[in-house]
Amino acid sequence: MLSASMTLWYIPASDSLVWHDWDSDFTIFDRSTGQTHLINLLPGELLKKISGPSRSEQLAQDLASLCQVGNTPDWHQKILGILAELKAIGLVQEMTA
Amino acid sequence: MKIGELYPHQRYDLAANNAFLFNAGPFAIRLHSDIPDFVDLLSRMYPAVEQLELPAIADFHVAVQRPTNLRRWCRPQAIFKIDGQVPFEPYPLDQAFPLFEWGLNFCIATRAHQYCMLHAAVVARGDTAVIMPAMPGSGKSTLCAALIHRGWDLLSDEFGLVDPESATLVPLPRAIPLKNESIDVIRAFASDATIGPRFEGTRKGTVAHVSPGRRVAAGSNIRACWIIFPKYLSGSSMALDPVPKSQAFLRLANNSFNYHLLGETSYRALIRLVTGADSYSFKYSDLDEAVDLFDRLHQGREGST
Repeated sequence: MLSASMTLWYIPASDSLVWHDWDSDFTIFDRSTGQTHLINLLPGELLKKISGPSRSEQLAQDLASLCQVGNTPDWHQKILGILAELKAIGLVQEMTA
Repeated sequence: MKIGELYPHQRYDLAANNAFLFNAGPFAIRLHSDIPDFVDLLSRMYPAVEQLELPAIADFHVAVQRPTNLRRWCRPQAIFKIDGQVPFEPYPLDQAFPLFEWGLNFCIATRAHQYCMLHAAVVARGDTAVIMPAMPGSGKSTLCAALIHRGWDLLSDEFGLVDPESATLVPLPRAIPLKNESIDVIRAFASDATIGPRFEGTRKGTVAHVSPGRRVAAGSNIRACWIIFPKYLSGSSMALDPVPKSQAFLRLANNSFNYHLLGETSYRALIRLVTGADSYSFKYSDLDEAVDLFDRLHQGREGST
């Protein structure tokens, strides 16, 4: 199993995502799969932070700043959990650094 | 000439000669039938619909006919054809009208993908409409029938057609099929309603159709101002609760006949629809109260514009 620091997260086809911001959450239409996803604010903001291959540590740091919370190990685990959920629905992929 | 103005022999001849051509909303239907009782009921249900002159291009070539086998004589049946194909099992002959209605629904649901199709009733006053998406059994048709007998115009009871370019609503006024107890509820609620015969023992129970008559919307720029998800609950107090727009969007997408088929086109059209409307869930048990509430919603909007 790869450690978090060796893994980069990326959006396989960011051009294929059609976003709509509903204020309290987002919908995303994925042109590559034809699926529509409803996601909450935090996963939505996390996706927006992935402009290129990104380490989870950096994403956790950026989101902690955005949400004005401490970047603790628990927070990092929470971000990893969200990344895993986004991977399960095909919105992100992981690669080895 | 309107269908209701044709003499019986005229409409029988037109139907028997595959020349009965009329509009159902944006669709031109060319009908072939050798069943006079069915043709009579059709003219009673759609008296204000224009009989179109040939030659005209029809969207759907349908037939409601007696089969040519022995069942023509023994427990007679009716069959529905679209482009010469028979997509359903035969119905008893005296259920030819519901067979036509459900057959036409099938044609629209499987072919009219130039529109986003919602499983929804839609009524309007002027250019402002209420979309009522709902599952079967929610009281949608009953509420819709009540509203059109209290000043609202019918766009649809079954198919909410949305133009994907403009996100405007396209009228498709058809007879409203009431089921079981709802038939007597509307008979009592609207003594002026034209209600067709009761069809007992259909696949949906006892069904009777309410004619839209002249209570139909005709505008070309009708926009949804409200999306209301109705639910009839016997004995309940009326409640109208806001639904977050993202939830309303998802419920509409799940309620659409062809959301996945149209993909991004539907996604964008439904976003426009939801963005421009207020969304509510609506629980009711009393039709008078429910209609009053719809009137107040409309008056509130009139007062604010």
